[in-house]
Amino acid sequence: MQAFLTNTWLLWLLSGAAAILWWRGRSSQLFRYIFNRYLLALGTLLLVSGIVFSLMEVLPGDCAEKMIAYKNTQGEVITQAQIDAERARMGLDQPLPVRWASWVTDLTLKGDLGFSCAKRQSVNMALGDRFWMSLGFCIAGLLFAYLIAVPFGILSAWSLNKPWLDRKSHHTPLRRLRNSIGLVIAKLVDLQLRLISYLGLALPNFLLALSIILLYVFAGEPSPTGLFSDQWRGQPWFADSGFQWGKLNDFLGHIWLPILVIGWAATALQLQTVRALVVDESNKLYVEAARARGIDGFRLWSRYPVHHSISPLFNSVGFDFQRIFNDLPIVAVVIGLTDAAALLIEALAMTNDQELAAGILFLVALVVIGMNFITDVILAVVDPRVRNSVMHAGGH
Amino acid sequence: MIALISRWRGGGKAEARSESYYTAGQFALIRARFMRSTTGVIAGGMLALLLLMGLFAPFFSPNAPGIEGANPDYRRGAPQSIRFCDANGCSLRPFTYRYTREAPAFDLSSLAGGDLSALDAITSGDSLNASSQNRFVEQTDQRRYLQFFVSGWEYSLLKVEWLGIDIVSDRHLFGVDEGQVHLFGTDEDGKDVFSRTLHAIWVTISIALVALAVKLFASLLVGGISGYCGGRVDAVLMAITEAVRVIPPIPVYLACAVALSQLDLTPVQRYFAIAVVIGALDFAALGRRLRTHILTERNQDYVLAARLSGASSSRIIWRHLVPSFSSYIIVDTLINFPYVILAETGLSFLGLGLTEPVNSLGVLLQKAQDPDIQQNMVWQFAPVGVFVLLIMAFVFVGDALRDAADPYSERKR
Amino acid sequence: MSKRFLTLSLAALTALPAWANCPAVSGPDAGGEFPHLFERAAYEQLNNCTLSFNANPASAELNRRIVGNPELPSLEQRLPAEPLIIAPYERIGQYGGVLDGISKATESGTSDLLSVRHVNLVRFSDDLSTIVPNVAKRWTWNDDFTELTLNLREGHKWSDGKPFTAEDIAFWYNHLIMDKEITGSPKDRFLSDGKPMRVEALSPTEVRFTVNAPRPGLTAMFATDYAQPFQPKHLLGRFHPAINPEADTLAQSLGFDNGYAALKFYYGQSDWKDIPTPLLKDKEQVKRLVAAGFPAVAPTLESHLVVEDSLEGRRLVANPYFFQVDTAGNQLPYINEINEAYIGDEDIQTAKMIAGEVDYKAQAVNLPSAPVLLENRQQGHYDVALRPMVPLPALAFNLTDKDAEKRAIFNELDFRRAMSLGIDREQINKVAFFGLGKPMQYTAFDPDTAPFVTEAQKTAFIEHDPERARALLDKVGLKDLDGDGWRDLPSGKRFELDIRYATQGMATKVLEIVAANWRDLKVRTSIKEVTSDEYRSSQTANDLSITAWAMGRPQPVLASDPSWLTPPYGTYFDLRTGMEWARYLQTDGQEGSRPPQSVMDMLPLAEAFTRAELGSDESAEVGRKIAQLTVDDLFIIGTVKAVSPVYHSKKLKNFELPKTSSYDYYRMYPYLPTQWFLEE
Repeated sequence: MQAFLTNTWLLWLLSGAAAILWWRGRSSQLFRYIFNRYLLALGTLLLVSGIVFSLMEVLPGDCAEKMIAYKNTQGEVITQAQIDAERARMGLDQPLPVRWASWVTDLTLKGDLGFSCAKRQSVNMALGDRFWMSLGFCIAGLLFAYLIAVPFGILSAWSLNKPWLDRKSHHTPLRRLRNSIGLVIAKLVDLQLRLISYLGLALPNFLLALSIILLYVFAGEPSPTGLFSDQWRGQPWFADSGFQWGKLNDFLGHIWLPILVIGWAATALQLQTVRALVVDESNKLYVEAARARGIDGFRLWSRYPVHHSISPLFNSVGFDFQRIFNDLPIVAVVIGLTDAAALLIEALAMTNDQELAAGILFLVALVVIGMNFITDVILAVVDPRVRNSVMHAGGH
Repeated sequence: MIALISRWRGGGKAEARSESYYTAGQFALIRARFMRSTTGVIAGGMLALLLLMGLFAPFFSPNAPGIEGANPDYRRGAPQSIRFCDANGCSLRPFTYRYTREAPAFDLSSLAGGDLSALDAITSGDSLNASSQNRFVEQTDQRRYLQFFVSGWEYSLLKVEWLGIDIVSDRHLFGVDEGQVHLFGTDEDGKDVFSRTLHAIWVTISIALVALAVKLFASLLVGGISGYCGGRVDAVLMAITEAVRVIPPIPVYLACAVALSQLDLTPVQRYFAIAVVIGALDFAALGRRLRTHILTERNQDYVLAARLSGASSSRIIWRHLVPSFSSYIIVDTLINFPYVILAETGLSFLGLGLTEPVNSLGVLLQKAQDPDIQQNMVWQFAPVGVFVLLIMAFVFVGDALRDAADPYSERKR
Repeated sequence: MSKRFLTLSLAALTALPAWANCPAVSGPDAGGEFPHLFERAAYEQLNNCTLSFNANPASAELNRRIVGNPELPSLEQRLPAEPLIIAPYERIGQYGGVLDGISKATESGTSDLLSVRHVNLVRFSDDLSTIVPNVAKRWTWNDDFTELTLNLREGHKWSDGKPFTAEDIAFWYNHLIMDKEITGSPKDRFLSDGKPMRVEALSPTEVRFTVNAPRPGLTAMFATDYAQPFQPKHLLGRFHPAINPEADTLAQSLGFDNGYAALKFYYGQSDWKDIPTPLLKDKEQVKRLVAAGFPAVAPTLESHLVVEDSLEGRRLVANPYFFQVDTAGNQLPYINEINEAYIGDEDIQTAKMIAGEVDYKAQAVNLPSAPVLLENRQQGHYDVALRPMVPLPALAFNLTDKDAEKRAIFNELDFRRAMSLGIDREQINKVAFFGLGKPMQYTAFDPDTAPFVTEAQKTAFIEHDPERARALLDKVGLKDLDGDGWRDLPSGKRFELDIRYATQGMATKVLEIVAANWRDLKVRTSIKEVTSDEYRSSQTANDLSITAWAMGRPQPVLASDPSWLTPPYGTYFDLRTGMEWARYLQTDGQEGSRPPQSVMDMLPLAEAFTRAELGSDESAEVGRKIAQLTVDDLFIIGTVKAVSPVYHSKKLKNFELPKTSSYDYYRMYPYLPTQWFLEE
C-alpha cells in the first residue's frame, strides 16, 4: 500500500485537485472557469512534454551510444552488438511514442523525470535543489526588471507625444515656464532611462558579466564568481551559534551579479511593453471621456490607463519568466553558477544528455504554465472586466 | 537644441498636414509621424549608415579582414591617429605615421642545447609583457599620407553564383601611400579591427534577415491558416502555438545547433541553417496576433464583398487580410531585430554559432571577453561599441515606428 | 634555479618544536643514492644519527574530515618503518595552508592538480631520465628484462590506516584490470605482446611482474602513468565475488544491486583518480555505507585525498598516513589542503590567475595569455615562466580517407612534401608564438629530450618553398583543370581541404596561416572549429580528411608503448590517421586495408625500441632509424614547437620549475610537489 502510494502520489494529487474544482464548478461559474483552465493547463503540459521529448530526438546519439563512447575513451573496443544490447536494456529500441508514453506515465504517477545517462543517476537526483536555485534567480531578476520598468515605462508613455515646452496660451507665463521645465526634465529623464535600459539589452549578458568580474580583478578585489566564497562554501546555514549571518552576507555579495545581469537585460523589453500598454490604454475612448469630464493630469493617468494596463502585464508574468530563464544559462556559465540552467547547457551542448535536458526544459515549461494558470485565476477573481468576459465565454 | 529641431520639424509638417493628411495612405502617415520623432530619426540615420558600411564593407575597409590582410609588423597595435598638423607643419592631406616596434630581441639560440635560461631571461624582464608588446613608436619624420579611392586587395562587390555574376573590384575608399592604416588598431594577429568590424556587421545582419524572413513566413502560415479556417484547425494550431511559446527558445536553438553540427556544412551554411531554425520557432507571438486579427477582420464587409465576388480563400488572406495588417508586421519585425541578433551572439558564445576566423559581431564580442583585451587592448572593444549602436538604433527606430504606426497617436494633441 | 648546494636549514629548525637529531639537509646534492632521496637506513648511516619524526600539528583535525577514518594512532605507527626521505628543494617547509587550483570540470582539465598528489611505484627524477623509487623502495630486473621484482616498504599504510601490501598490487592487476566486468578490455600498456602479464605477490613487501617479451620500459611506464597500480584490496576485495563469496549479499545489504556495483561505486570505471567519488555520486548511499562502517571515499596512497566533492569543486586534505618525510623527519605533505575549483570558462580562469587566486597552474595556460599574465604579476603576487612543450602542433592527411581519389592523392609522398613545404613556419612562429617557438618537422620523438634525432631529420621539408611545392603538386596531377584558379583532382573533380579542428588541439591562428599558405598554392582550403568531443569522435570514425593535434612523445613513453609509432599513431585523445590500416593490423588482416611497406617496416623497429634499454647505444640507434622512417614517410607534418607558460604563486615555496610544460611526465610528479609549502 505504502509503495503503491509513493509510486502514484502525483496522480492522486492532480486528480484530487481536478475533482475538487469540478465539484465546486457545478454551482459556481468562476470555479467552472478555473476547472476548464486547469484542464487546459494539463493538456498544454502534455503537448509540451511531447514537443520537448521529440526535440531531444534530434540530439545526436542516445544513452547507449554515450555509454559506449565513454568506454571508447577508456581505450575499450566496442562492437555493434554490445551497443544494441545496451540499447535494448535501456529500452531505447522502442519507437518514440512508446518511450514518450512511458516517460509521461512515470512523470504523472510519481514525478519521475527519467534517468540521466551522462550523470548516471536519476534526473531528479541530478537536479536536486538546483532548479529551485534557478527559479530564485529568475524571480529576483524579474522583480528587478519590474521595479525599474513599471514606473519608468509609465513615465515614458506619459512623456511620449508631449511637447518639450508648454505653449498653452491660457497658462500664465510663470506656469508655462514651470511646466516647460518639468516637461524638459521628464523627457530627458525618459530618454536617459530608455538609453540605460536598452543598453542592458544591447550589451550581451556574457560580456557584461565578464567585464564586471574583470573590473573587480583589475581593482585587486575578490571577484564575485560562484555562489559563495571559499570561506563559506562548506559552512552550514545554521551553526551551533545560530543562523550564520556571515554566510547570508557572502551569498548576497555574490548573487547580485547574475540578478543584475539578467534583470538589466530583461528591463528593456519590460519597459517597452509597459510603455506600449499604457500608451494603448491612454489612447482609448474612455480616457478621452474622462478627460472630457475634467479629470486631468496625474490623477487621470493613475486612475485609468495605468490601472488598466496592469492586468495584461500581470498576465504575462509567466512568459516573462520564460524569457528571463532564456538568458540565465549563458550567465550561469560565465559566472560559474551550478544551477539548473548551467546543467541545461552542459546537457545540451557538451554531454548530449537528452533526458536531463528534457527534464529541465519541461520543468521550466511547467513553471510558465503554472504561472499563467495562477495569474489567469487571480485576474478572474480580482478584475471584474476579466471575470465578466470569462464567465461569458464559460456560459456558452 | 533637440527641442529646437523638433519644433522646426513639427512646424514644417503642420501646414502640409491639412490637405494631404486625410488622403495619405497608411505608410505615408506612418512615415510622416515617424519623422516627427527626434530620437527615431537620429537612430534611423545611424542605422542606415551602419547598414551601408556593412553592405559595402570591402569598399570601406582599408585592409582585408582575414589573416592575409593582417599586418605582421603592427600586431596588438593601438588605433592610429589621423592628423593634419604636427611639429613639422601642416598638410591639407591627412596623414599618419610609420610605426615601428622597439624590437625586443629574443635570443633563443641557447635553447637548442636544453638551456632554459634564455626563456627565464624573457620572463624576468618585461619584453613579453602586454604593455611592451603593445608599444610602438611613431616615426614622426615618416609621414604616410591618406589616399582616397586607392586600389588594394581584390574583392567581389556583387556575387551571384548561380547567375555567374561576379563583379570584382579592388578600389577602397581610403588607404595610405605605403604600409597599412589601422583606424581601430589591430588584434594579436595584426588583423585590422576596423575592417573586421565592418565585415562583421553584414554577416550578422544577413543572418538576422534570414531569421526574420523565415519567422514572417512561419507566422503568416500558422496565423493565416488558423485565423481563416477557424474551428478545429484553429484549436489544434493554437494549442501547439501555446505549447511552443512556453518553452525557452535558446535551449531549443542550442539543441538544433548541436543537431546541425552533425551535418556536413561549412560554418556559414550551418549558421544560416541555425538562422532558419531561429526564425521558424519564433512564430508564436506574431502568429497569434495575426490569427486574432484575421478572426476579427474576416467578418468585415470588405471581406464579404471579396468573397461574394468569387475570390478564393488564399486570395482573400493574402490580398486583403494580410495587407491590412502590414504595418503591424513591419513594426514587429523591426522590434524583433535586436533579439534575433542577440540570439546569434549567445550561440556564438557557446561555440555553437560562428567561430573564429569568421567575422561576425558575435565572434568579435566573444573575443572581447579576453582579460588581455579588457586590460591592454581596449580598442578591440570597438566592435562592442558598434554592436551596441546597432542594437540601440534598432530599438529606438522600433519604438518610434511603433508609436508612429499607432493609429490613435494623433488624437492626443 | 634549484640551489645546487647543501644547506643547513637553521631557520626551519628553530621553527619546529622538536629537535631532529639528523641534519636537515636540502637541495639535490644532499648525498643520497638518487637526487633529493634517501632511504632511512642510508640516511642515518650517512649522517651518523637517528631520525625522529614529527607530524603535522593539524593532522588529527584533518583526519576527522575524512569520513569513516578512525582516530589517528601515533605518527610512528602511521609511517612505514622505512619512510622515503625527501631533501626539499630549498629548505624545510612549514605546515599548513590551502593550495588553490582550478580545473575545468570533474573529469576535465584535472591532471595538473592530480599530478600534485600523485604517487606511483616509481617516479622520474627531475632530470627526466633517471627512474627513482617512490612507493616501491627498489626493484630488480632479471637479465633479459622479463621479470621485474619490486620491493615495497615495511609498514606502509593506506590512508585509512590499513596495511598496504603486495597483495594490493596483484589485486589491482588480476581482479580489476583483468576482470571483464570491471575493465572490459585492458589497455595495451598493461599487456605484454597483447597478452596479460603475470603479477604475483611473493611476500607482503615483494611483488613480481612477469612479461611475455623483454620490456625494460615497464618501469618508465609506471613512472609516467596516471593510473595507480595498487588498489585497496581490504575494501574493494570485500565486494569482489572472486575474493569474497559473500560479496553480493554484503552489497545488497547496503543497497547495491550486486558486489560489482558496490565495487564500481568506489573504484569508478576508469583508472583516473579524478572520477566522481561516492560523495558526488549519491550522498544517501554514502550515509548507508558509513553507518555500516565503510569509508566514504576509497583509501589512497596519494598525498591528499578527497573529502568534499561537488559540481563546483573538490576539496582534499593531507593523507595522515603518507609515506614520505623530509630530512628533518617531518611527515609530508606540508600543505594541509587542496582546493580544486571548477571553472569552465577560459577567460574566467585567466581572470582568477591575474587576481592571484590560484597557487599553481600550467595545464591549459596558453601562450597567448602570457602577456597579460606577465603584465599583472606584481599586483597578483605570482610568477610566470615559459617552458618548452613536448608535443608540437602537427597535421596529417587521412591516409585511409573514405574518398578514393583523395586517398590516392594523400598517399602520394610528393603531395605531403609539397604541403609541408607550403607552410610558412616562420610566420606561424612570429604570429602565434611571439617568435619563441622552433619550426620543426615531426620525428615521432620529442627532439629536445632525444639527443639521437639529427638536425637533418628535425629540419626536413620545413623550409617555406612555395615554388617547389607548386611543382610537386603539378607532378602528382593536382592541376587547375577548369580555369577557376584552383587546383582540381586529376579526374577534374573539385579538390577542397576542409580542416576541422578543436582549439584544444591546435590554435586557430596556426591553422589560419596554414590555410592561407595552402590557398597560396592554389589548393582550396577552409577551416572550421568544432568541439573537442566532436573532433575526437569524427577522427576515430575516419570522417576527417585532415587531422590536426599536437603530437610528439618523449622516449620513455615510446619505449613503454609502441602503439605511438604505428597506425593510428595516437590514442582517442591525440592525432590519428590511417584508421583503416589500424583496423587491418588489429584484426590481422581480416578487416581494413593493408598499409604500405614502410608501415610494416616500422612495426619491428617500434618493438625493438621497447626492448632496448633507454639511453643505450642500441636504443639510440633504433630511435634514429625510427625518426628517419617517420620523416621519410611524412605521414604527419610538424609545424612549430612552442613554449607554454607555467604559473605559480610567490607564496608557493620549494617549487621547482619543470623542464617542460607538458603532460608527458605527468606534469609536476617529477618535481616533488609533496615538499611544496605555502608562506604568506
